[in-house]
Amino acid sequence: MKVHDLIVGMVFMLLGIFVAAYSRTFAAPRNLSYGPGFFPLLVGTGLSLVGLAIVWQGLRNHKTSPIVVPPDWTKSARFALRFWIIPGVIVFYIAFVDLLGFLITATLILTSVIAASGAPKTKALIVGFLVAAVMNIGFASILHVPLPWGPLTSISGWLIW
Amino acid sequence: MTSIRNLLTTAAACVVLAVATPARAEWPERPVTLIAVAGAGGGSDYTMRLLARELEENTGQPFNVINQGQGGGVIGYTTYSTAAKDGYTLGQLSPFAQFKLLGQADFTSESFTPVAQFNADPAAVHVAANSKIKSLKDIVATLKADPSSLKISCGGTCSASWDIPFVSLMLEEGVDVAKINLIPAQGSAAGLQELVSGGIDVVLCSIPETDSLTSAGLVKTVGVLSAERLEKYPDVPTAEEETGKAVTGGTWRGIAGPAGMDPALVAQIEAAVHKAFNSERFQSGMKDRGFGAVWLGTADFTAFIKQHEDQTKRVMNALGTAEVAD
Amino acid sequence: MVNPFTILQQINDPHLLLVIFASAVYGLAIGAIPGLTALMATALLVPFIIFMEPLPAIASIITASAMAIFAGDIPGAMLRMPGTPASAAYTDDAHDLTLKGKTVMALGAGLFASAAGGLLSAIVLTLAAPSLARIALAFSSVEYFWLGVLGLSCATFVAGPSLLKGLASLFLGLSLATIGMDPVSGIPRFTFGSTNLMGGLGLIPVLIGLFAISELLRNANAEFHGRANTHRMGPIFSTISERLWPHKVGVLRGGLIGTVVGALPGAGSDIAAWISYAIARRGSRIGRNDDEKGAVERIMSASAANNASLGGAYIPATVFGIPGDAITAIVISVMFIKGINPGPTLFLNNPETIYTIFAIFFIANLLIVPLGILCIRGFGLILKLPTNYVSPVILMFCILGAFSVENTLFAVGLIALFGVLGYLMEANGVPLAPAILGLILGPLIEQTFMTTMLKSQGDLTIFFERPIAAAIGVFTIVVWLAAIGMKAFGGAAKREMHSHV
Repeated sequence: MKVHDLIVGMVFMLLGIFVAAYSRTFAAPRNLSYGPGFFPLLVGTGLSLVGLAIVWQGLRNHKTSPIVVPPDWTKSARFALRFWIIPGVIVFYIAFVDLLGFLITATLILTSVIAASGAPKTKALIVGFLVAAVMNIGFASILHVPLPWGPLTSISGWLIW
Repeated sequence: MTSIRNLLTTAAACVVLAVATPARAEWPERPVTLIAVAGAGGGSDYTMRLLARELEENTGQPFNVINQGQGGGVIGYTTYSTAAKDGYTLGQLSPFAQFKLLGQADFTSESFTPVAQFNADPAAVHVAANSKIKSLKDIVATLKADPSSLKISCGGTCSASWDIPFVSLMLEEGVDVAKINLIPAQGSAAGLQELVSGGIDVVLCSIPETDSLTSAGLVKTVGVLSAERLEKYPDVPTAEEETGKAVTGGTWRGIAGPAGMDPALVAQIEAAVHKAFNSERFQSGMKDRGFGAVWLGTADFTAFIKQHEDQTKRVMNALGTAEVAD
Repeated sequence: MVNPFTILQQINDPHLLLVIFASAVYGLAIGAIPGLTALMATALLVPFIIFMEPLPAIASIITASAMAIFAGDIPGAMLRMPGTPASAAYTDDAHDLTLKGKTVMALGAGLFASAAGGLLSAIVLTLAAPSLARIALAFSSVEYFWLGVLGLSCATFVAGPSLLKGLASLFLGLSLATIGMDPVSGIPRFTFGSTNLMGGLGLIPVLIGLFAISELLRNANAEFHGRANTHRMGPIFSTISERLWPHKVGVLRGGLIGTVVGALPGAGSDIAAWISYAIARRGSRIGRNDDEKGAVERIMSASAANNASLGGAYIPATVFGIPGDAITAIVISVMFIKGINPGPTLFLNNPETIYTIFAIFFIANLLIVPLGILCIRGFGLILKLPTNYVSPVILMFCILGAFSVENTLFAVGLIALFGVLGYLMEANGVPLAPAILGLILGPLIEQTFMTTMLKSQGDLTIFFERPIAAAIGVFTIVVWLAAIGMKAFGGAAKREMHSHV
């Protein structure tokens, strides 16, 4: 999603002002000459000044570029799905992995993202499950990454090698 | 989409089954998670893995050490102190009282169920080998004359394991500790680097960490804050010998779980940890790396962490670093 | 004295060689998979090696980390998903070459430079470890501070067409670096009561989000840009080495910078690669140019520094027991456990062991070339699979990669957040690399500035009091002024030309 430099600069400027202003609330518990707020104040000020300069630059060529260029995912529902499914499944992972375990969660994620890109659903499910199983074996069983086992928890002792 | 829904339903059913299975008396019947409140490869990681190896051997279940050292360990403490009280999520308990006083977290001795302590390393005071300071007495005298005249590295974050006992000693000596120039470092190695490069005057950390630099003739240890001289370092005098004030302290590591665990379960875990602690491999593993193997059972450990809270509170109020005074 | 035969004997142990080979394959695989990083490769090795015999343990970690750091260049060049924070410096250079159908050029350059840089640091290690270690120990917080500020100047070189947007990205990274506990007083900043934010934003999840996830988002409705070109990877590896010869000076310089920066405890491969990149961009006659050869020069300088810093880190570690980074911290632990205590006495009493360790560096870095070529080929083959199957798998690896480094679900959330942020930044011409640079250097600069001020009780002249500090300080200021001046002047000149046309 491309927006006008005026907006880009404005966002950076406001963010910088926020950082700088918020840094004034950090009080050092001991009498330090430079407290915890010093560095954020510096970078916040820097960020807001750079933002201001981008706004200034944007003002000079405000007529040549449009305010907002809609991204390609606004063109169709399918495109939007393919785009938003990516952050969507990450949030799904966070919400459900402890309950469902890695194997099921990863199978669901892989299957749905593959299917969303237009592949046949059965094939997506098969590929999704196989990849999830290989990942589960490789990372949880062999490399001991603490992935949740979900329903398999009670027998996970035998599944960690 | 129907296939996905079916899968979800099946999965949910499995979960219900797994949860509904009644807990049996035998611990552990499935893998146990041990949270190390430090990153992979450091001393905490090593000692926890050493212990986990024995526990695994003795119980036949995997003990997974998980490193959550972010935020000085706050993340790791939060993870296991808020976990289920079933004994399958335990963690490392080390000096924690400063977090509340600094406004970083709410941990108190009530936030955990202490199981046992398996390690303690006394803080020691180190200076550069070519320094004008030759002894702990020199340091006390210098700080009494001008409390801010020495740059003292905490060998890690300040208000922590190494500087709290040191400041406690200075308090006893009547030094105006609020003016002491304590400088934090990214770990003891970074503090020692500063010492050798001439950036600071004193480093506080454990003795084994300075072995290589001492043998290189760059660093000298002037005192250790323990009750007796250490077996491995017979030439280093204790603080009591040097100053007459019996102040001790340093870092320590123990096993704990979330608050409110069943005492019967705690006793089971304590027994398992004790067996692991007494194993020959654990003892030699601790000794080889220079870690002090010190055992405190559940009752003693519980009393000890209360004492730790009190000392930390007293020192930090004197330093003026406590955000929440009480 | 050291007996070379003893060293050969120790090396010529089938078990040791097997460990080296297995670790090499492991390191390459983890490094090459987008979303999985070199840091993850070494962190996951810890439980396996911590109780192993010292030589296989150290061989394993040396080999795996060298391989993973090189292999991180592969997804960087082909998919624009850098495998280490260090390779983020030259990802755009390498990916541009891929877009021109010159993947082989980009990766071949990285491959040979990585091996050469690693070998160079191994030579330095063998010849001069004890004396270099003394130099490394002369660095106090003041010198580190200047080094950090010098590294920041790199932002102006990776800023892309708009200096302002590059600086905005840098300041954004620096601001994000202040989230979490303040390094001096421990006061929570910008945490808004969240425990997860207390630990700050992990560098690896942010890297995965900004680069890998944002790339997936950008290509959600398209094929990977690099894919079309991979079939052109013909059998030209034999001829490419000749075309890399003109860059020997760049590699040498990168290797030396890498070894020295790596030898400074606390300044790891990330900082080494960025500084080497900046110096190639500014100081090298070839690297200054925006053409293909310039890009190759910069890739080679930074890759050489990247791998050389691994060796450099062993200098203070073996001589003084001071770890240069997380990897050497583990190595020191393993050495102590087995009674091979690091220290100058180790060089006197047990030189065979220490020089065998250094010999493993030679083996590992020589292995990079054949195994690296196989790995690049294999990666090219995988990219021939349909994108709509490959990118979901990459997405899953990103989730796994973020989780395994931090062990928190919060880190997984970060990749989604920074994925969308990176997508928006990229769409609006805000470069991503400076933000990563800010995140790497922000904590170093703030920490060293604050501790220096504590030491001097607020007196700023301390920054120029020590001779090394004054030298680096003046150099840094000159580089900054030159960087800003050239960029502003160059930009103005270009605009002028455009307006005349």
